[in-house]
Amino acid sequence: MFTLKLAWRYAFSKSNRHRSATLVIMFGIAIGMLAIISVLALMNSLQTELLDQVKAIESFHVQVTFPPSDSSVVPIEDYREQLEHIEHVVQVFPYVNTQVMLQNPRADRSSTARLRVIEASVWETENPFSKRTLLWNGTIPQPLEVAISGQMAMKIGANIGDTLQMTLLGAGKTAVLAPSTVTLTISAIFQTGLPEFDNSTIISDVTPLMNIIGPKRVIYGLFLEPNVINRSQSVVSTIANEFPEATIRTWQQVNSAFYSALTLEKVMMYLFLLFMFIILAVNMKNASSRLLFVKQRELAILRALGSPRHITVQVFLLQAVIITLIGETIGIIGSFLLGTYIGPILSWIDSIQSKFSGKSNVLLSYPFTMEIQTGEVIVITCIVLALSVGFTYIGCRHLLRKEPMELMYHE
Amino acid sequence: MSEQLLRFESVTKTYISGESRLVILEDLDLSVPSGTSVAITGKSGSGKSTLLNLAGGLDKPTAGSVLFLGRNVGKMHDKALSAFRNRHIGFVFQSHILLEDFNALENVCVPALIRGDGRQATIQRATQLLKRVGLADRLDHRPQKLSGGERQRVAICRALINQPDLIIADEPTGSLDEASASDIETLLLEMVKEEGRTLLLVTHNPLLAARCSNVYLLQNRQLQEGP
Repeated sequence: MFTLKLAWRYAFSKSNRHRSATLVIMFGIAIGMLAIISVLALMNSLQTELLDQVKAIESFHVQVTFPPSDSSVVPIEDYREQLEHIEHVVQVFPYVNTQVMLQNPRADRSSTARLRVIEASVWETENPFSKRTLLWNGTIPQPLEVAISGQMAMKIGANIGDTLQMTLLGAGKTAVLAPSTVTLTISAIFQTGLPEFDNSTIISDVTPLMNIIGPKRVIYGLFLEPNVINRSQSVVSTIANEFPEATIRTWQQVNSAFYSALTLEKVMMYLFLLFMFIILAVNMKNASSRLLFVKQRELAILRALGSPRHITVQVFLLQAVIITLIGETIGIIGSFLLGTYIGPILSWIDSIQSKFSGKSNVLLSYPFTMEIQTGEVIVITCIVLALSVGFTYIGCRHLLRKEPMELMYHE
Repeated sequence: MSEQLLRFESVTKTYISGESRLVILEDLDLSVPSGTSVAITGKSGSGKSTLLNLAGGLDKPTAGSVLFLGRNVGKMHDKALSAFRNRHIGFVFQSHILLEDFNALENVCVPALIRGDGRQATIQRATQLLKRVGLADRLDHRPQKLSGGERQRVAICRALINQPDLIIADEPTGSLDEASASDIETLLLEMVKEEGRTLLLVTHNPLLAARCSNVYLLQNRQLQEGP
């Protein structure tokens, strides 16, 4: 208790000439913590958001494909029904992705696109796809209708109600694949938040395109219960047991490159921010050494009064712990507050900068959210504390070697 | 015959700095009986403070033994030595060094708190001691707010709080004006007597030395019976 009191006084006493240094170090730690937690939380949030979008719109939670059969009749509904009965599977949507050429005769513009043929119920029921694919104008595409994104609409100069000529490759009689042209009407404009998807993809109902493309290229997209989305091994095993011939890929496998890139980016940022703390820790070491230097005579007195050598070292280590813990607490509270009010804060900054620039900043107007993970906060807190204590110990270890009288007459 | 509290047996202390070797004390013997007051006098640089440091376990002899109640202080490890200093020795230094971040009362309490004494009992005893030296109205004053004489009074109380067997005072009035020095000397001798302690004192002041039971002159690395 006495050691703690001494450490506290050495850190914060009004008579302590180094109180300002203590406060600077403490706020340095607080800002460091705020920065590292906030950046990681932002990245967590962006990563989760991106992966959720990718899972919902692009890859589904699990994809199942079956090898082409000799029979011309592919039992799509049979497969779908059987897959829907597997435990933890919520919905199954058979779909086909294929490259097409789009032409808008009215504007005389054309573009290549990726056509997704999927039944209209994907929009009508509640699922991750319908939740994240916003139909901001028009109606759900029915047979021979198509939904295109705002970007695609601009690219080909089309609007709702326009007719498009779509050339696709379907199953032929003499050739394996034969070009076929279909006229479709634009029924809706959508937006997903995935620019890549929006730029390239148009979505249409199954009838009659599935027959033209041929049902052999069907992929079965599965939406799972929320608790098994990230741990879908049991579902994959059940499907593999029931359909040994099927190829099954989870969303992690489908998006592995993207997932790895996000993880790598996060690790790099983690390392970068850690360097910042090492610099801070070196400053702590120097500050401790400086404080030790001016306190040598007092430490000699403490030793003379019967304080063992290790206790005097403990005083400085405790001081480092106190300063670090207070700094960390301020940083953690700050990051939680920033997480709660990041929207209004960025909006306020944007409003100020727009007064000078005359326009809104894209980054500042982005709807950022922060996902603070308790585990990460605990790990960061422990690492920073360990660095601080370690470097402080290095800073005052020479104290261990000095006799009281050497300390007393150090000047 | 009184019990021998402290004994120096053929003590030699040498400091080595680079290639030079400086002998401060050589083959020195000293006996300090319990309950007496011993004054060491001598010229500056004669080794008086070194002798006190050896007696208080703040330094170790190069050769010979420093025995305190029969225990060899020079052979003690840090933990035992710290406990020894805390329980058996009370220091009063010339420059009345106090802990700057603690007030007078807290400064006096420090040795007892290091020993692990109860807070309330310690405060009570420290308050009594400070009242005894006339600092009842200065308990919560920090060292910066005290005069030199007042700080030395605090240092004396701090030296006595653990009721040590031996009080070591290194020129306790060396940095004070004449009037303050006289007050402090009287106070120190009175309190040591009241508390029944042994005093080992280094001083340049012949009048103060004359008030002690035994006086030694440290000269040529040896102790001689004083005048």
